[in-house]
Amino acid sequence: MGVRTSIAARGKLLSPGRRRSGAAARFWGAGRAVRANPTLFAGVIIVCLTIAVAVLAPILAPFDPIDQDLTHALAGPSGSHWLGTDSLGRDVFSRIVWASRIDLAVAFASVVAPFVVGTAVGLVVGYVGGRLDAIVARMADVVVAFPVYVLIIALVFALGPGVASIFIAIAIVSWVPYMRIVRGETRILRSRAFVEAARVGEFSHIRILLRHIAPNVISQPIVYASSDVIRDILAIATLGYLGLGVPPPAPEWGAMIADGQEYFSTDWMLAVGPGVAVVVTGFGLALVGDGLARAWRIDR
Amino acid sequence: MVRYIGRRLIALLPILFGITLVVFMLVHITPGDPARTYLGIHATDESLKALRHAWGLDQPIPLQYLIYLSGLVRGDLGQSLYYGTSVRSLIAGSLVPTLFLLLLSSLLAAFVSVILALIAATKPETLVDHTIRAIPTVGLAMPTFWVGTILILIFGVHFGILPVGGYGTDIKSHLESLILPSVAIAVAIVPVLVRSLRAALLEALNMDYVAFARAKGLRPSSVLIRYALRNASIPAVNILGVTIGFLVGQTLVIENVFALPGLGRLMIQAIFKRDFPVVQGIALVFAILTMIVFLLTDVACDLLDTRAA
Repeated sequence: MGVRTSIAARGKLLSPGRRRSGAAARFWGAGRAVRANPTLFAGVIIVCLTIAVAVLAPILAPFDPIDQDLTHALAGPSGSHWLGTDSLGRDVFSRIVWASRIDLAVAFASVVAPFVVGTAVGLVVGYVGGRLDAIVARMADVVVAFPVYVLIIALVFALGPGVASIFIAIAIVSWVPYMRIVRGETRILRSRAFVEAARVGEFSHIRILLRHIAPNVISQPIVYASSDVIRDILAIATLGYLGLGVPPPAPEWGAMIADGQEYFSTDWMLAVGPGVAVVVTGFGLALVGDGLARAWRIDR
Repeated sequence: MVRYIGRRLIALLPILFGITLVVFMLVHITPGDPARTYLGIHATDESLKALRHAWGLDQPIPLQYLIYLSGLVRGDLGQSLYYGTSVRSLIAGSLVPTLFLLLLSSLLAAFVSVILALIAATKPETLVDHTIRAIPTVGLAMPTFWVGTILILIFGVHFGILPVGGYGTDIKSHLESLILPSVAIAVAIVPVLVRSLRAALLEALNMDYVAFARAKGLRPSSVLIRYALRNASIPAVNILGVTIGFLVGQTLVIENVFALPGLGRLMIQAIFKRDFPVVQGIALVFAILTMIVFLLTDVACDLLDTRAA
């Protein structure tokens, strides 16, 4: 990357006449970016498409997702119902489209709290060290001792059904990896010369943490977050599948798969369709994660 | 060695303490009154009071925790509210299918991962390698329960060669009914394992002792297996151990897909019956199971790594 930009800069200096201006330069710049990191590009496109589907659900979905039509229950794919209807006569395609709103919104929202808490705690603990570090490390050990789904399911059960419980359960479980990643990086940076210099300059600890250390560690939790969203989508769908997720009749991919499983031998599309939606969304996010890791040279 | 394991066990005590605290608190983070939640809105005051007394909920919370702990020390996990039997006997009755599934699926996952990683590492930067390296990206996005349903659809419903669910009555039918669940879990685990195993193998293949073994004129296959794979097995066992929490979580889900009568299924059934002691007991057992595996992994790594001894 560094070499390429310097060549480009030299080119600019030597031949000002051939400098592309305005839109063309931006277009060629974008083209080069795509070729440099096709993974990231493909991922961003898939993720943007799924988000577009979620946003445009009222326009894209031909039917109301919770409108029942019992006379047309379990009708196979047809011109009006592209993927058929479920056991209550609801249009499967429309439900998959509308479910993207719920699954994506809950998944993206449930990344925020663990990201913020984990990163903040990791920064402080990595910087301060000592007894506080030891206590937080033990707390993390306790959380990690529980198999992920066991603790999430037990917490959702105890907190009662609903989206709020899902947020809290996911937050309690998944702040740990963010904390561990950021803590490790902070500990390395703490003894680096530029931090020592800031300390000699008698900057406040908060200023050193926020202005000198945080900007240098933040890319790692961001890359982790891109794969964490996938884990959250899977967790939400799994909870829905087990009957502990977003309460019905709201369309949700996992719950739809569970419903469809009963009519397997006749209408396999009911269970397969929503799963494809999960896989496509997750695949796009995984590509973004790989692409970001490559762009920022983070080893995973 | 014994002293080493003893030291590790003592280091686990504070974590064990934390685990019991988390499991104990499950009842107390429930919004409102757990007795009311269990008995429903029509319960009389007397029955509520009686249940609270029976659960010890009328005692101060620290005392309740001590009572709970002293029960645990005696191996008493409480009484099931729904079945009326002891939680310990319920768990004992469901433990075997879960352990069997864990064993089969981790063996399958480890076997497939080693094969794939060997292929990828011996032909780096070829089409095969790129394909194998793309597996994690796709695999990461596939919900295990969905993979399970697809497997049922193909092998159970369409071809009808394997059972669609249940556990069977004899060892042969047990094995048959565990094939599809194990495959579904392996699909979730293999992506994680292949990525790390390939990296470990490539690193091992770059070592001087591998170059020396090649220079000695050993067959490439024996260099690969006796030298590279053996040294790559330390990080591999480590990764398998770290993944175990994930693996156990997957068994919980997959048991419910295939109606396997294991701990995971018991837990979900208990949740729908609001059977608090059973849910607590299973969460505790799962956590302790995971801790044991962590410990075994560390010990195994030290045994494999002759430098540490």
